[in-house]
Amino acid sequence: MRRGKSRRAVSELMGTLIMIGITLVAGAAVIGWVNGQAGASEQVYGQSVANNVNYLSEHLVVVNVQFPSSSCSGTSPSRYCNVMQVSIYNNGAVVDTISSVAVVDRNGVTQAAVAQTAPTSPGAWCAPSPGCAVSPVLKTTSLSTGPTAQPTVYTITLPTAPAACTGALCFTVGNTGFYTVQVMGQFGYSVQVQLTASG
Amino acid sequence: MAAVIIFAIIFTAGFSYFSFQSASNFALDKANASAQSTQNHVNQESLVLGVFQSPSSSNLWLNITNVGGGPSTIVSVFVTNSAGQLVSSGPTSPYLIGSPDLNVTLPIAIPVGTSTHAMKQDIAITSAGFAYSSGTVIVSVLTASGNEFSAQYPSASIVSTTTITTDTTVTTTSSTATTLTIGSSTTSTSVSTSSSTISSGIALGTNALVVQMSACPWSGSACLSSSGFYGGTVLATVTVTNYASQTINTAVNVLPVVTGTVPAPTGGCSPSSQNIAGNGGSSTFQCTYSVSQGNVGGTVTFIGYAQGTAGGKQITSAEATSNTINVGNLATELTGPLTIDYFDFAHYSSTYPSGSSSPIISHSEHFVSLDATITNTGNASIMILQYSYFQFVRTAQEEDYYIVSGSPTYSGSTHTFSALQCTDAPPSAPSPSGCGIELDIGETSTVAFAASSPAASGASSGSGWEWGSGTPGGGISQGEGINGFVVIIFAEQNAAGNWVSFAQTLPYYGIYIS
Repeated sequence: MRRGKSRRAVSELMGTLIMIGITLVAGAAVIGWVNGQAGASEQVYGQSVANNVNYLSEHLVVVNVQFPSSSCSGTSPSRYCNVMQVSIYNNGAVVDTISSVAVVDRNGVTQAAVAQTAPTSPGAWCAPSPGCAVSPVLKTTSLSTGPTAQPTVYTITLPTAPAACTGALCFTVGNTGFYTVQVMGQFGYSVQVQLTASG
Repeated sequence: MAAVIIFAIIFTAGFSYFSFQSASNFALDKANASAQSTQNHVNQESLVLGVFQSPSSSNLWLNITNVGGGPSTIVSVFVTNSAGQLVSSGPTSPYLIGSPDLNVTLPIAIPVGTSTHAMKQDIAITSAGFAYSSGTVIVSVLTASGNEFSAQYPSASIVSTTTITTDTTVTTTSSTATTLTIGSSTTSTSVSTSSSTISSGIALGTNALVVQMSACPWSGSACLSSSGFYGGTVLATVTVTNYASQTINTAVNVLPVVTGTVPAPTGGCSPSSQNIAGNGGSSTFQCTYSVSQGNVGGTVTFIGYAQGTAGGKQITSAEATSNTINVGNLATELTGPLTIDYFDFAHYSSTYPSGSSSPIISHSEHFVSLDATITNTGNASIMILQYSYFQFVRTAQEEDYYIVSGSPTYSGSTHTFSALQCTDAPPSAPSPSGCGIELDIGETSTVAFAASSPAASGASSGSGWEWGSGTPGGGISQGEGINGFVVIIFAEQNAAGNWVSFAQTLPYYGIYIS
């Protein structure tokens, strides 16, 4: 009778431990990948949802646009105004700030864009030259919401009349509907109102 | 043991992910519902203002009556002159909110059908806030909903007053306001005009009946959550308030309005009619409807009004609209001028788009395209801009597909189009010339959205289309679960010659054809 040749092998215990080790390493790799993918997706989706929720919660109303008489000069029909006061009320569900105010004419041309962070440096944010200033500061002035909130009056100083009225920004008293003020909130909600200069 | 531990960890990670998705969807649904509820309240709000001057001072008194479909909150009062300039003056702004400019402290809430006079809260503008001397002024109130209601002082209308002390028939052809003062008799006096009946001293007009509606998924005994409603019974509760001085036998008419693939609901209201006591008495009607999802789903909203007869005259309330209930897992449509008639998407192996260098960058020869037919149902032409995108949520991840062109062409399995480009930089793109897809009034156009690196290409995640440095589009494989859709259009609308930016979210009603 011939005995078979003896072969060396790992024990059953060692084999089991090795298999468990391989499973743990592979599992850890899978977990890391899944967590990474889920985290990235959650971040993107969460940002998207947050943007949509903020947009849905944002609502602004232009309560009044006026041209103070003190800002107007000349006599009719050549009486011009160069200060515009826009009252904006936040009736949305979130505390808001105004990201931009623009004045466009009936041809769709933006005549005055106001989107500054500091009213003392108008050159970079207001067109056409010489620029316009606004008070209070748009992007850093919070508009509260709720029943105790009140409209905020923004005073926008346009190019001085009547010298500047040889250009596009001529707010002639009685010139109905020539300009439109567009106000945009920080989350993208926009509201517009047509101007009638009267002062 | 190791397998169990790993399974538990993976299960935890997966559960956390889906919990996050669910919470996000809930937040979005809640914001949608809140926005629609707010808009409904804005639309239903209606106030009637009366302005009077105190005989002994320059104070102007304001009497406000709420004739709308819900309570109103007055947050401020202001006065403008005939040139539109603010002439009221408070301590910090022209908007008056309390002492010493007013005799009351705002805000004040006015219930439906109630006046400030009945509440003993007529608003007086003191001389500190505005002292009337002469000329015409406009007194306005701002509500918490953002609505503005105004009245002119002195009133432009001519008021005629007739005092009746015996049974008398009065006929007037005046088109101006008429005040009738009924004498001591309250039982036999009946005065008719062409538009209203006055009986027992109280006018019965179109505002005598006020309707409020709400809707919810209905279990048979209680309202269920609107989230995750895929069909079943919906209860529309109609509350009718009678502000006449007499009981009115009232019935309600309710019309369900559906969107998407929701079939017309069937059902009715109970009771068919009932007597509602006057002087503010109210009763409810319960209208149950059977609602199903159809192929995809959509929304259901109820519009209704009340009718009754008093003094031989038929009285009809203003229409009221209920809240909207989502049927199926669809994004809620927001108000806007654009509609999507159908939407389909296909899984193509495609060529490079031309002009792909900016703003969309392609890193792969393969991409997925999705086509939509969009109609401009507004009253002005619209320019759809490059930033518009289609987004769907599937079980693995959310994906964005950016708009590429208005006229895709097909040849075999190849889908070719051009990248949509504008020279304007986001977020403000005021000039539509030379970019975008223009839709005239009533025009329908097919637009395409695309993302590269479909699963078939084997490209790694993140190598797809990119909009600026934004999120790359990913791939889609047939059979993957799809949880929701949304199409967000950034556009400009030509309003009276001015291009005005707006964004609109559109629902997805379509079929996955692969």
